[in-house]
Amino acid sequence: MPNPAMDTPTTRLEEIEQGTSLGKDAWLRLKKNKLAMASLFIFVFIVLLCFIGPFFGVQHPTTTHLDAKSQPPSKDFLLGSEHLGRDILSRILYGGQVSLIVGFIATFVSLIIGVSYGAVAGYIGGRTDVIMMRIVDVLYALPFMLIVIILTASFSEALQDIEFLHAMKEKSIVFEPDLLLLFFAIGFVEWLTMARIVRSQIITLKKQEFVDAAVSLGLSHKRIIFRHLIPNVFGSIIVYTTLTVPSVMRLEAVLSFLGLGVKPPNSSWGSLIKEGADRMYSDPWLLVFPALFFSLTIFSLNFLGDGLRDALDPKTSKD
Amino acid sequence: MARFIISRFLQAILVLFSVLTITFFLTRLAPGNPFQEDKAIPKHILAKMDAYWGRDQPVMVQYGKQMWNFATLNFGPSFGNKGFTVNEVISMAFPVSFMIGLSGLLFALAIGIPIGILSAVKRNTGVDYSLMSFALVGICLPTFVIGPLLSIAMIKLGWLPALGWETPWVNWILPGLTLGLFYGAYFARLTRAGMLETLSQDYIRTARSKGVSETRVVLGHALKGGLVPVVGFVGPAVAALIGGSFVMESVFQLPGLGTHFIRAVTNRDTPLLLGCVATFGVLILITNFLSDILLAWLNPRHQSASDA
Repeated sequence: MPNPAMDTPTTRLEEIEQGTSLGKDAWLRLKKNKLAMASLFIFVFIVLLCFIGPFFGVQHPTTTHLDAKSQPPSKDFLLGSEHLGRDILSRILYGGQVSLIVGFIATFVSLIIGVSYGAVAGYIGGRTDVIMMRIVDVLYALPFMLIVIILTASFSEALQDIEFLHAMKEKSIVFEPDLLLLFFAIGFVEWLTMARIVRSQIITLKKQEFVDAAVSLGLSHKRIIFRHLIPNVFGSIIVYTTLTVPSVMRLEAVLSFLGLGVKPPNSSWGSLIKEGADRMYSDPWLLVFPALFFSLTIFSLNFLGDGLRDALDPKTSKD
Repeated sequence: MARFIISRFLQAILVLFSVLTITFFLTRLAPGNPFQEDKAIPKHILAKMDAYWGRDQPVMVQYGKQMWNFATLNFGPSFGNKGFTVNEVISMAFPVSFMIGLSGLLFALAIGIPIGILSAVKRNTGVDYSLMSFALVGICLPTFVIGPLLSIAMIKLGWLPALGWETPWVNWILPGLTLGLFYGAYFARLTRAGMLETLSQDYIRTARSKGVSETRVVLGHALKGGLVPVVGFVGPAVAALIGGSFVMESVFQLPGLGTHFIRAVTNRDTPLLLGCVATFGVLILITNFLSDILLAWLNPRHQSASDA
């Protein structure tokens, strides 16, 4: 079917550059993978539940009901209440917002660092590449957990004093200055594998003719890297990003579990699991429901990532 | 080989040095004072305490002193644990963490490798699918969920002590098992992938055509190559196990080094913090080093590749 808009040369170029057919192909293959599609639905469902659910008559997560402490699931408290009578469902939904926001933003930070670092190293090559990747090797050997803990615990107080962040905290139910620390501390440690994957792909891509063509057209290196090379690696980037989100969320949960990430009265799935673990013998629902939400999310993201890998078929190893 | 070992050793020293340096300056950049308590302490007393502990000197002098302390393996007194030196705190708490981490690693290998081998041998059958789904469940269930569940099961069943470290010869089992189940799932997937790749090699076909029994082909010929990805992951796994042992200490209420480390960070107890970081760092570097050597032995091509 001839489309008049296609006749202008720019859109046609755009069409070739974007490679929509590849994306459509991948989507068709993904649709055939039942496990991945089920995971996608579960994940979208949980995200919608956390972000839209609170608008439908859920209690405020920090409202206490001292006459209804530690209630098992009932009509008033769908998933039970904790020792101060706060509604668990509401705490799980708002806590989920925190966990998911940290998961996405920290992944985004690591994505920006990893992709640009890997692309630059792979594109320049030679000595620069050797040195840059050696640095990545060395960083891999660092005890990250320790550095993240030091970063989050040391600078938490300093952030409390910043006026602007304080004002934001007043306005929002879930925001607190500590979240910024989590975004960056986790983002700064999770980019290494992404850098390796992108670099190895860029190295194979840069030998192809379209890069020679771009060079001979006199395009700048920056433009070649960001407009021509990186879009061709999108497949692997999407796959690995999907797999980074759950590992970031797990790191946040571990930190909050240890009392270093999200602090009360704010909550995340990690801190809720901690509260539940402390009272699991008398009030098991406090542990079971947050753990269920958390595990389901991690689960679905991992399956979705595996499915995307098969669908987009990048030539990357799992590492 | 000698060149390989020396270059890795020098690199390890460099890594350790940079980690300690980063740690030192991060803690000195952070606001707060180790002697600050809930009740405000008068300024002149704080200044005196700072002077007593040498915190009033220029930062670079303190940095030099700390590095020298590290080189002589004497970290000095702890700011937070009054009356204890850092060395004493570490020598009390480290064995607990070490035992949990080691048992976690051994459980993980003992669970993961057989499952991985079985899965690879029976690939694309019901056995393979169920084992691998089990492994994926293991990966998605974090240790801080498995741990409390195991602990509550033990409270109900009463087979093993559920919490604490009063009877060390049985107390390590639950935390070790929790970590082992989680990392065992990773090892199972890695072993399966490694075995599948090795089993498709020509020399395996040759061995089979010579009439070698299937058990010998799998365990005698293929296993050595199949374990390469597992050994490669042991280094990162130990780093992760340290983080995992922090969680285990919190879940099972164990007096390990992780608890001291976290308290040292929040209390700005720089000497203890550096001591912990150095201990964990050395542990990670030794494992990385051993796994590199083991890899080079398992797969000589790996050595020449990383030498270049």
